Amino acid sequence: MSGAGLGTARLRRAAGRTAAVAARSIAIFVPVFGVATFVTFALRALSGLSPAHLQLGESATPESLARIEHEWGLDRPFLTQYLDWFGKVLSGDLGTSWYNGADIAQLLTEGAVISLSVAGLALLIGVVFGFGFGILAALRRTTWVDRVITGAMTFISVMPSFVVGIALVAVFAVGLGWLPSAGWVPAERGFGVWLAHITLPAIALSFDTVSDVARQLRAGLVAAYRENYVTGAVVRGLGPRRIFFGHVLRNGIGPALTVLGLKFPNLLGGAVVTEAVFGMPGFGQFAAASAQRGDVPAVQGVLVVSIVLVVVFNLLVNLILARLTPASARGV
Amino acid sequence: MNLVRRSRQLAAAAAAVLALATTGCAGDAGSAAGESTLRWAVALPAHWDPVVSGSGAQFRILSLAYASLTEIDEQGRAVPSLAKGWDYNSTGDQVTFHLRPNLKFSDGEPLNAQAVKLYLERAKTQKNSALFGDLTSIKEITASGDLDVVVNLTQVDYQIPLLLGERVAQITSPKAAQDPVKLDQNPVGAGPFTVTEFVPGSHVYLKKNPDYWDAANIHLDRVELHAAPDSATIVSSLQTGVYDLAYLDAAQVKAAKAAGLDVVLQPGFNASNISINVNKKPFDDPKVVDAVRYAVNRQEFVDKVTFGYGKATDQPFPPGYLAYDEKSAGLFPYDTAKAKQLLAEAGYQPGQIKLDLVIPAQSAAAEIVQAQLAAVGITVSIKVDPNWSTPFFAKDLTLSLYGTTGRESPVQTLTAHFGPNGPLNLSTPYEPEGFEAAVSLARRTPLDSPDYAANLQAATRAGLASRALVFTYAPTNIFVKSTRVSALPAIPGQLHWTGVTVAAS
Repeated sequence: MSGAGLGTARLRRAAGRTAAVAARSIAIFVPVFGVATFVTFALRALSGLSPAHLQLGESATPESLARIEHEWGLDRPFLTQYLDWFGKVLSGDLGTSWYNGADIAQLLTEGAVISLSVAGLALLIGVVFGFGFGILAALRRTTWVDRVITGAMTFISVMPSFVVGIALVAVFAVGLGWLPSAGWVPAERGFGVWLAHITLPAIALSFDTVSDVARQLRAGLVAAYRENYVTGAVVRGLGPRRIFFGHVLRNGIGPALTVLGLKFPNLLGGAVVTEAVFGMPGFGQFAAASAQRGDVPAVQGVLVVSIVLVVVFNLLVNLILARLTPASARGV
Repeated sequence: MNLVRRSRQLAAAAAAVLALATTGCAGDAGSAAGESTLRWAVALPAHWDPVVSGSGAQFRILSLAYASLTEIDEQGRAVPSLAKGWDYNSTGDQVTFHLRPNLKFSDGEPLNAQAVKLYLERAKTQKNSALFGDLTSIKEITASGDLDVVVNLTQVDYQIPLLLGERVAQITSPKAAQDPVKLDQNPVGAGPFTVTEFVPGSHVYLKKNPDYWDAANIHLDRVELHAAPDSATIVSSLQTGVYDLAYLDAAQVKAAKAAGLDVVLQPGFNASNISINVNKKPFDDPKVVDAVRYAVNRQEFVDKVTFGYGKATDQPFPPGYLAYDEKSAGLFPYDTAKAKQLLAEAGYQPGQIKLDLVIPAQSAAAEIVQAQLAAVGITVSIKVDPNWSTPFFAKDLTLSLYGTTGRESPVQTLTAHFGPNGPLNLSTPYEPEGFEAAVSLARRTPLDSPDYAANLQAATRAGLASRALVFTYAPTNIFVKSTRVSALPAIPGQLHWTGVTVAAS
């Protein structure tokens, strides 16, 4: 067989693997989505929440309550309401908020832009510093560098983002005056201003990711260094760089990447707190406020978008893992 | 080692990103040069149609976009706004408001007598109106010519100029009101500002309205409303100049003063109460209600909830207000021994009464009520119900809490609390004896009559015989503003923008 034919076969195998991972993720996504949305719907029915109390306030009477529930179609059978809603979701229509009557898809898009900006930057910081510290600690394992990094990572992992956020504001906004302490500016108004507004919240949000990724990576790499194939490689006279990239990193990175995959939903969830501290009207704030008000359609919208975001992100991580460590694609 | 260098490079790249960020923050992306902009961090109102918006605190924000038929001054007296004056007929059951000439809404529609009539009729009839209960005195509205709005009343009522102020008569454009759902998210009024950008839950930008009747005295070019950050970081965000104005938690007053910000204690009509249902056991026994009255230590609310920035009150207003009745003050002083004795007389052993205190959100005040009632032997469980308003306004609860921001018309405040249909009377249709006659007399007394205060206080006295409400404390409206913002007019319960300036930063 020629070299070219071998290459095509390998490519085809890789593509097949990618497709298999994608198909499996979608196969998981559909039932998860169905069950999760059904449960939220059932919770509304169980809680007896109604848009009427949000709209009527002091003028709520039993008659006006019934009238508004009828307007929203809440007097119809449960399954009819659910299927109706589900059909609309598939066409991108998330309905209108009970609280202010605004279009939920639009509110969520606006909030998601803010949250994804912050979570994206936090993820970037998490990856850069997490990998940096993790690799450094693994390479200098058991030295004082390793101990300082491990100690610092343990310390920052227990710092709540609320406290970190307030401390960052006190130092960098109030004390030094370098960065704005609150608010949000879209990127259209200038890249620098946008970045300035999301930097402090992103740092506050990234601490957990930095420490978890660094610790997982260090542990993975240190374990890989103890494996026989590394000893074998050393015996065969391979350079430390080739050993690191060819054997250690590739085999030791799995846990860190998996943690990273789990981190993304955490970043969105943690955004509830950082967005409150920094006064950013993002996805997290919207989710928290809607839940507190009992704005059921908004909460359902949040759920739909969260599931999609989490699944897409996990899919990406799975694909990267499949590429790096082929065993993971076989579910081993 | 190579790898160490590589990770150093990564760290350097990250530092560069941060450095880039810091250079970006120098410029102010908000407003054009030379414009004076007020940036207000605030909980944004859900509804921008004044007919739908219910709470008193929200009308303060809506007043940016809407002008009202009348206004109140520092003393709480009705003064001209869109109406430059008004006349009652000799029998007091008809009042004619004279509008200023050549008024128009921000969509260009004329603001004439017809527009005011259409607004008031909409407030009375729209299905989701939060105001219809306030307009029961109004029988019929007619437009006489372009400028005179004739309001025919169901009874003699000299409170109408107070009633048709900020809370009840922020006039909307009749053209925009043809689609009330759209108006609710796209305010069209004749206020000092017009909305230029509106993102629900995020921000609202407004610019000065040159057609506002008093535009000459509005010195702000732009107002930006931003969703407020957590109360823990309000002070630092004003300190760093991100915002100019915000509501302030009493707990943060010290920090705000230390940061060199202006703390504004704005007067108001606020009063909080314990709402009781006398139609339900055990409160059908007046001795149990009296026991609760004696069990309440008002100073504890002032100290722990308002951090001293409030007043103890046993009436639906703060002490010192026109309708506050000195003769009724301190009728039920704090006396736990008396409370225990009354419960024993009613036949209850300590701990025998177990009640649910149902409230919409967790609050320190609820925990104080729980502790104070526990001290006299009443066991209270706090139940937080986000759906609270449904049973509360349907009068299904036995025990709850309420806090009002008050109304410009003191008579309206009284009927809301003590009247047989009052939304804040948890015991409807219960009404204390003599209240109806007393409140009717107060209503029939012209506002400039020498008897007005005395008749009003007599109505308060009659209302306080009600066993449905135990008033506790009157919180103060606290704002924090940057020193660049000039003093705010001290209008009780409201925020006015007339004469307010913001110096360039």
